[in-house]
Amino acid sequence: METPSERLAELILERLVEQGLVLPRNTKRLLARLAKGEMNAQDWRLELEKATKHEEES
Amino acid sequence: MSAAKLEVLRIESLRGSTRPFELRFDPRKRLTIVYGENGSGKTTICDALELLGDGAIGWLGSMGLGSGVHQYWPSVGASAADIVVELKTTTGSWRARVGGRQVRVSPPAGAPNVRILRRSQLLRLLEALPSKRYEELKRFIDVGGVEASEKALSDLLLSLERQQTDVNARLDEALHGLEADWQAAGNPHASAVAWARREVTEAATTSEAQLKALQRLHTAHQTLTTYPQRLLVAQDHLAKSQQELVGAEGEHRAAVRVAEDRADELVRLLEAAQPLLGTTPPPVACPLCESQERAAGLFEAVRERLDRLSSIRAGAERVSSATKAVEHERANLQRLRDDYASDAAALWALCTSGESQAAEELPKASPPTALEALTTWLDATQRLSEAWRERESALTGREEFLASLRGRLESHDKHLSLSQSLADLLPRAKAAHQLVVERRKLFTDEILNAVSEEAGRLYEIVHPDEGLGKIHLALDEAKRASLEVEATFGAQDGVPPQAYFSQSHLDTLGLCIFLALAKWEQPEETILVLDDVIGSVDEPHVDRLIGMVCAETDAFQHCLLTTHYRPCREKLRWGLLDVGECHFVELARWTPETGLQQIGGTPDVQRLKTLIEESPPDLQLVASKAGYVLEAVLDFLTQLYELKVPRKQEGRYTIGDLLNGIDGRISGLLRIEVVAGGSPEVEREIELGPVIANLRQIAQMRNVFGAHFNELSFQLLDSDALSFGQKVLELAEAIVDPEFGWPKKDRSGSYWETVGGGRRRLHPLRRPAS
Repeated sequence: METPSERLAELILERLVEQGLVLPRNTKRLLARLAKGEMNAQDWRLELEKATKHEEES
Repeated sequence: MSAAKLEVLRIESLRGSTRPFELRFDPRKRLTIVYGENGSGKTTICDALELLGDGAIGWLGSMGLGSGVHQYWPSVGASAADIVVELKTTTGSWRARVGGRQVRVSPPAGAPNVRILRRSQLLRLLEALPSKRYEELKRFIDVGGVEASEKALSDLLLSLERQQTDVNARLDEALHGLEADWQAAGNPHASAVAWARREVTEAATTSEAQLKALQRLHTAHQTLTTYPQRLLVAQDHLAKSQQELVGAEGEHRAAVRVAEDRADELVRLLEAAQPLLGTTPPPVACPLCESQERAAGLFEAVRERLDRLSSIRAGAERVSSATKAVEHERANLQRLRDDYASDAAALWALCTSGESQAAEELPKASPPTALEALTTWLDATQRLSEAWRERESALTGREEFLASLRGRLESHDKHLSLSQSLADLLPRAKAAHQLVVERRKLFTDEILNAVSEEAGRLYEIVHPDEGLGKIHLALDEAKRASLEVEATFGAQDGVPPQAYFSQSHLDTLGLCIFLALAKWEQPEETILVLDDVIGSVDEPHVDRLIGMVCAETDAFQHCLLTTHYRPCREKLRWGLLDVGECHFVELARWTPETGLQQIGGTPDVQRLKTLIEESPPDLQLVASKAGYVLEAVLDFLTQLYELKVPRKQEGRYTIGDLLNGIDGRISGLLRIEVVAGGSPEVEREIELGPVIANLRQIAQMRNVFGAHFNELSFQLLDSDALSFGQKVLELAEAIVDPEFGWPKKDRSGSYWETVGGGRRRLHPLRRPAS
């Protein structure tokens, strides 16, 4: 059974991808980490930078 | 709903189950009500389900038993390894075993999801501090994982903001430094940065080798400047040593002249002989002539002569020492000349090798070969040495300036680049953080609003029109993990219910909140367990509360409700509660020898039937039970149709009083339609008037056979008592549905019907007007 954190993490990632703040290909990996509280500041920075780089390249 | 139906729960060696116990569920019913007095083992059944669903028995953990609470899980005399809890459903079977402190459920996949509410939790739901309340409910609304990730994002945001401040300060610092240098240089080019970039890339660079060549040139020249003085010192030392030698030789010659002939050789001879004569024992003959004559005392005689010749010996030693000193000073002087030759050659090599291009002028001639001529050469080249020093200093200063400029420019470029990266990243981090915070609040608020609304709806069912309700649940954002509850009391909104509500109302409210939360989380896959939660609810509300719980049961996979509330048992047995399809289980009192025991919860109508069918029947019991059932039926009818009965204290009506209340007008109209389950078709109709009329004639059988000992019963036939019992049974079975109880609902508008599909319809709806 999904926990409230897992359900919320799904909703958050959906919106982050929509707004181009996170790359869609990374959501599966991020979902569990976001829900379990395993995202640290450097992880967030990396994901945001990847999305920025992807946007600049495309 | 396709959720698996519960079939049987088997418990061994857990808490009160000192003997294996099986609770068989009715697969047609989603609600199981377990009734038992205190100490009958109701909680053990709840514990078993909790152990299976949650791997622990939560309430024991809050009883101050410490960390070894698991040791109290087994029954008395059993061990943890003996504990078995097994739940069989229509789709599978799950078994929980205990090993050490761990509970293992096999298979782990698809294990039952159990939500349990106990009386003790109910109190904490509302009476505890908001943080404690949150602990009770957090499994439904806890998004702690996301909150931790949100905190990390918040940390990143703060860190990026600090970095941006720092980077901008460094950028300003570098820019100000460049501008100061630029202004000092007279503001060439369009900007300080453009000027600095040109300076560091295009300015002629002085190599390290050139600077070192200048340093070596200067040092070499400085070294030569030391030689004239050192030459004077060496020459002086030589002259003095030579003078000393001349003096020593003169004095020595004079001493020898005044001494005996060949005294010098004699001294050396005596000195050589002295060690030969000083042996122990003394020699017996002279070592030179081998004469034994005067051998004794020869050593002392030699020593006396040497003492007399000591001035000659001292003079010889002084001459020897002075000679060595002269040789030493000569060697020093030669070494100085050699060193000079080497240093002079090194300097000239520097001047002629091409390494010293940075030197604007070099000596035109090499240093003189003769050291004595050096002073003149040095006088001629001294200004060159000073020029080399100045040149080296100037070049070093320029290099330091360029290094400083390069450093500032690099710092400027680096921090400009960082500033641009941060300018891209920071808005994204802000947007992501804002999105996460908003989503999290929205998510929790949506749950709490929906739960508040649902809790209010449930509460209104139990307490209709009392002006209590409008439940509002909210998380305190400032304190996190802190749940506030507000309600309406009278006309006042937003009051803490703990301050105004009665204990009974608080219990109801807590239960409603719990049910609303439990319904939020996939209830169709949830077994809801309510352990003794209706104990303190007051009488007027308990029927509605049970009715509400039963109605909400449809949302869950299954609901198990335990109670020790006796009126509940009686009403259930008589079918007087609107519980729909309910499986009623009654437990006997627990003892260590028997463990948990289920006893027949046979309703009295069924019991009457059994008594009649016994062979031979016990007439006293048949008549007594029949009278009891008849009273219940007549009580129901007279109340339903508001029929007239004599008013008595405490409502103690006799069968006669009640039968007289059913007068001829209503009696002739009473009719039951029996409807088959799941079909609108009427299966059969039963006119109640003739049955009641018959009972009116034989009702005294109750008192004759069933109520008192009297001889009149000896004169009557057994069939009279049996006939009374059979007529009562006929009436009761006509009116009371064995599953859905009494026809009490008037929703059709034309007859009374039972709940659960209206399998009994009682006509008429109203008594005829008098």
